[in-house]
Amino acid sequence: MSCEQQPILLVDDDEVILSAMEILLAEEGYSVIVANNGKEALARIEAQAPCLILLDMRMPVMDGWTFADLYRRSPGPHAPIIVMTAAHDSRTRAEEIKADDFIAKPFDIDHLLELIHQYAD
Amino acid sequence: MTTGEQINILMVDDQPAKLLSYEVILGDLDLNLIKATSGREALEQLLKQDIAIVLMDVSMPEIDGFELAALIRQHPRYQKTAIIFISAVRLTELDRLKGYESGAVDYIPVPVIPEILRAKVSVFADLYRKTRQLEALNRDLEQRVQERTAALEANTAQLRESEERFSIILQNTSAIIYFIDADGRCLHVNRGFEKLFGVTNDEARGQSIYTMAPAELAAAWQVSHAHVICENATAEFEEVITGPDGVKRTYTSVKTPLFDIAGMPTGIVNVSTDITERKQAEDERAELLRREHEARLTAESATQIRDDFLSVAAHELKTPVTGLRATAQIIARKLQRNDMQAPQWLSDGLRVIDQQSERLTRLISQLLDVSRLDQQKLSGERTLTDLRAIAERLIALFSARTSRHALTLLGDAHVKATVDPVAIEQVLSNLLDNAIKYSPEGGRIDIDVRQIDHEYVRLSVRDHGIGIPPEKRSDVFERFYQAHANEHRSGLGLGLYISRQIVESHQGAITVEFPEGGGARFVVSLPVNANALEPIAPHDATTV
Repeated sequence: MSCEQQPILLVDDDEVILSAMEILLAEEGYSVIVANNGKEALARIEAQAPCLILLDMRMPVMDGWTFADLYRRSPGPHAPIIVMTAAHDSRTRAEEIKADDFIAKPFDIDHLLELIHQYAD
Repeated sequence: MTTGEQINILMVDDQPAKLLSYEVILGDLDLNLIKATSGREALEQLLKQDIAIVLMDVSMPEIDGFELAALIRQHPRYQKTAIIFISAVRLTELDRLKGYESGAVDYIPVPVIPEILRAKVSVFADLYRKTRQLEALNRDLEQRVQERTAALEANTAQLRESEERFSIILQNTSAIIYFIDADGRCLHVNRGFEKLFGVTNDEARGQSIYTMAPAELAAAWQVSHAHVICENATAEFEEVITGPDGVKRTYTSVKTPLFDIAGMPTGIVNVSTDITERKQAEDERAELLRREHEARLTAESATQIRDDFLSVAAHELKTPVTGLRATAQIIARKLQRNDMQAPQWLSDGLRVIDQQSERLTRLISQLLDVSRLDQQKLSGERTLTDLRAIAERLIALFSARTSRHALTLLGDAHVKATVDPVAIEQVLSNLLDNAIKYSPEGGRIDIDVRQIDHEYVRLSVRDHGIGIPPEKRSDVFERFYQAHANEHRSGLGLGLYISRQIVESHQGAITVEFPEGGGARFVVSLPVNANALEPIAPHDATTV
């Protein structure tokens, strides 16, 4: 699974965050697809398998827990998931869905990029 | 008295030959024969012993038979003694005999026929014996009657005394007591009953108790009384009775069956005790418990609602801040990357947006932390953590935010402790934040991380700023406290409060010192392994 051929999937219900991250990742040379909730994310994955998923937890329509559960049940291979959450204990959220990593909102973009490079490269 | 008792017969005659012949005649009659040859001798014998029969010759010198008999009769003991005269019949003498008719007197004519003498003496001896037996029987009977009477009197006195005591209790007790027969007719009711139902004992006696109470109570009584009679056992019932004042009171009524000798139930004795107050107290207590429980549930649910709200609010607040911060950072990054000659004010402005959004994030987190502190669940899982690594990371982060301060890390190369890394990082972050905030002129900030001994580690943050005025030092760890609220208003005054709670939850301590040369030094002591220590009670007062 490589982020040279495959996009990074951003899942967040906040448009500002989505667009900011989209710009940032595009600048870094990544291909990016976005989804506003879990359901949309599953549809995007159906169309194109991502190399990495950045996942918000609290979202309308389908939240991060349900998405992660359904995604893991789907036939693999599965991309690593990095949880991005504004919850107090991001680590607990990440453990709940057995995510590969987590980052607390609001984040420092340098920190975020460091994390993404770690999984994408 | 014994039937074998010797019966004494006194034979009086001046002629010894005659005495001898009487002795022969009476010899086989089982009598004690005493002989006297004169009236005087006879009297002597009579005084000496109990004599049943006197057999005497009428004609004797000195005192004759009649004179002797008169003397004998004068003595109370011998008034009924049998006297048999022996004499030739003369009319004048027969007349004199009549004077003794009241006593047992007989007469034997001369010549004495032995069979007649024997027969007469036998009759008198028998009579004497029977009389004595009868007397003894009478005495015995009389004694027994007396004894019985005395016992009966004693019993009666006891019974009366017991009855009096019983009556005193019956009349003076606050309980409602009644005795009824198996058909519910009153045998006795006490004063308590009289007052409650407005009927006297005399009026009640013989009347059905069910006519004295309101229909509802009477029906309840009929059921409970039937139960007691049927089961033939004491039972307790709760009864509500309306008094003459119209007030309903609750009684506990103990109903006990009464039996006859055969063990068959003949009635019931009822003792009712007023338990209204006790019942009220019980009800009030139950009501109080219920309300307390309700209040606790309400409080718990209110706390839950508040926490849920804060959790959602924090999330909702952080989301726009995330967008804000990311956008500001991206713009700054683009400017830098593309080597655009951005004006200074733009770079400064973007840095302000970044810093302020970060501060906003901290405030939101603190709000959430305080609500979590109340539930004592701030500290997460503890793992063996390199405290120096945390300090290094934070120093890098804070150094980027300030150019006026020189942050220096001192202490040991490796300092490890079993702690919640997120919580301890928060403590150190709070301390560094304060150090920068309260040394507005800049200056050195020394962060010291070292192992004290094999049990404790110490983190300290020393600034050279404005310090804290002595009068305000005792409150720095209190919630919402700000020592410099007027001049340097910023934050919620929660940082040190939260830090102290975290440190104490690790069984550690946080203190503040004010060294010579100004500024403040906050010192955190933590056990190397808090899990191995006994938990200590949280402090109320500040630990300064």
